[in-house]
Amino acid sequence: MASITDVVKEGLKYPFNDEKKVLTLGIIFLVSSLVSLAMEYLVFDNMRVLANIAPVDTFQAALSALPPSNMALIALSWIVTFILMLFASGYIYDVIKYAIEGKSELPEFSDIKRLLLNGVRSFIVGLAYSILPMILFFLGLMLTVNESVGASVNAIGGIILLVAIIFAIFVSLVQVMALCNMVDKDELAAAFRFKEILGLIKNLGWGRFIGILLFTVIAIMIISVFFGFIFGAIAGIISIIVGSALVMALVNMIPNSLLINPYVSIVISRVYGSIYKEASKTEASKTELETI
Amino acid sequence: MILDIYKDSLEYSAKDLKTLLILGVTYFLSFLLLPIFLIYGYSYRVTKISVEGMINGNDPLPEFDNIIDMFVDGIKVVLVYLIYALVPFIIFFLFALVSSSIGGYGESILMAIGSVITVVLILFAYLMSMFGIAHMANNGDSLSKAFAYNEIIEIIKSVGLTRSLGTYIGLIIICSAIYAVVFLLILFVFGFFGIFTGTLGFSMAAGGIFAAGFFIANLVMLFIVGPYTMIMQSRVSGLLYNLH
Repeated sequence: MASITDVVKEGLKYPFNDEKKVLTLGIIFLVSSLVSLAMEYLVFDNMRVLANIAPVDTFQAALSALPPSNMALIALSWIVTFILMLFASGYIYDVIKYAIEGKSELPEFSDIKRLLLNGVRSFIVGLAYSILPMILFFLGLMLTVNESVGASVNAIGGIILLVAIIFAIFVSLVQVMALCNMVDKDELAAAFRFKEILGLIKNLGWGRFIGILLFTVIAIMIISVFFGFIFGAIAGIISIIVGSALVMALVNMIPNSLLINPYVSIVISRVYGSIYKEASKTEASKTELETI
Repeated sequence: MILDIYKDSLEYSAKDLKTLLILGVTYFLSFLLLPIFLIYGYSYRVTKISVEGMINGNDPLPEFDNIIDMFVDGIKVVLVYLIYALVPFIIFFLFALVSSSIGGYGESILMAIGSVITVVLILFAYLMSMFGIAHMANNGDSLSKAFAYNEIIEIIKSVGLTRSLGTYIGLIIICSAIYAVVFLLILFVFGFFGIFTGTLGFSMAAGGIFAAGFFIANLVMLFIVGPYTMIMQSRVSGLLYNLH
C-alpha cells in the first residue's frame, strides 16, 4: 500500500507528464475567467445605473431602468461560462478515470460530446450533494438571524447551523468518493449508492482518507499562495507603471487561470482517483483473503 | 563519540559551497512561504542520508533536485515539528486557564509549576521531533512513524536521554559560536579598514565602510552560515539517531 505522501507526490508530478494538455485546459479556464471579468464589468455598469436612479420603488422599475443589451450580455456570458465549466469538468472526469486505471499520461481532448456529457454528470452529482447541506444551512441561518421568532428559536437555529456545517464537511468528503465511484462504474446511479461508497471509505480508513485529502489541500494551498504572491507582485508593478486597475486584474488573472488553476484541478482529481484506486484495491485484497 | 559526530557534521556541511549558496537564496526567498518547505525538505534529505550512513563515512550532500518530492517532504517535516510543538503549548494554555480561575497565591504557585513543566516539555518535544524525523527517514518516509512515540522513546533511551539532550544543547552552543565568530570576524576586518581609511583623512568613507561591513556580515549570515548550521543540525540528528 502506497503511503499518503506517495499519492500526493505522484499527483503533484502528474501534470508535468504533458504540459500541453494542462495549457489547453488552462485556455478553457482563461476564456471563462475573461468572460466573467467582462460580466463583472457589465454588472458594475448596471449597479452604477441603479445607483443613479436610486431610490428605486419596485423591482420592475429597477429592471426596466437597466439597459436590455447589458442584461442579454450577462445572460449570454453566464451560459458561455457554464458550458466551458462543463467542458472542463468533463475533462476532470477523464483525469479521474485515468488515475483509477493507473495510466500515467493525460487524457485527450478528443470527444467533445462525451466530455460535455460527463461534465453534466459531474455537475449533477455536485448539485445533488450540495442541496441538502445548503437547505439545512439556510434554515439554520434564517432561524438564527430572524429576531421575530424569539431567543429560544434563535438558539435552535444556531445549533442547526453548527450541524449544517459539520454535515456539509461530511457530505463533501463522501462526495469525493461518490464522484470516483461514478467515474469507475460509468453510471450516474453509482454516485448515490451510499452503502457502497461508505464501505469504500471504510476500507481505506477514515483517518487515512481525511489525511490524504488534508495533505493535498495544504500542499496545493502553499503552492497557490506562492504563485499568487509572485503574480500579484508582477501585476502590481506593471499596474503601477501603466496606471490602470484593469491591467492589474488582467495581468494577475492570465497566468493564474492559464497555469495554476488547471494544474491545481488536475492534481486534485488525480489524487481523488488514486484514493479511489487504493480503496478498491484494499477491498479486492480483502475479498481475496476471504475466499482463501 | 559525540565529538566525532560534531567533527563529522562540521566537515560534512562545508563540503559544497554551491549547495550552501542555493540554500541561502532559498532562505532569502522564504517570505514567499513555499521556499521554507523546500529548505525543510532539503534538511530531511540530509537526515535521511545521515541515517543510512555512518560517522566519518564520507557521505555525499544530497542533490537539490526533484523539487516536488522535496516540497512534500518539507510539508511532512513541518507537520511533525508543529504537532510536537503543539503539546507543550496546549499544556501551558491549560495551566494558564486553570490557574487564572483559581486566583490568589494558588494562582502564582500553580503557574510556576506549570511553567517549569512547560520548559521540560519543550525540551522533550524538541528531542522527540528530532528523533521522530530521523525515525521517519529510517522507516520509508511514513508520516505515522514520526508519531510512533513508543518506538521513538525506546530509541532515545537506547541512545541515552542525557547524552542526546547534551548533544543538542552542545549543538546550539556550537551554532551560536559560529554565528558570533563569523560576525565578529567580518566586522573586525571592515572595522580595521574603516579605521585605516579614517586615519588617512577620509572620515566619511570610514562610516560607509563600517556600514558596508555590517551589511556584508548580514549577507554572509543569510547565504552561507544559516544553511551551514541547518545542514549541520540535520546531520547531527541523523547521526545521533544511528547510535541506538
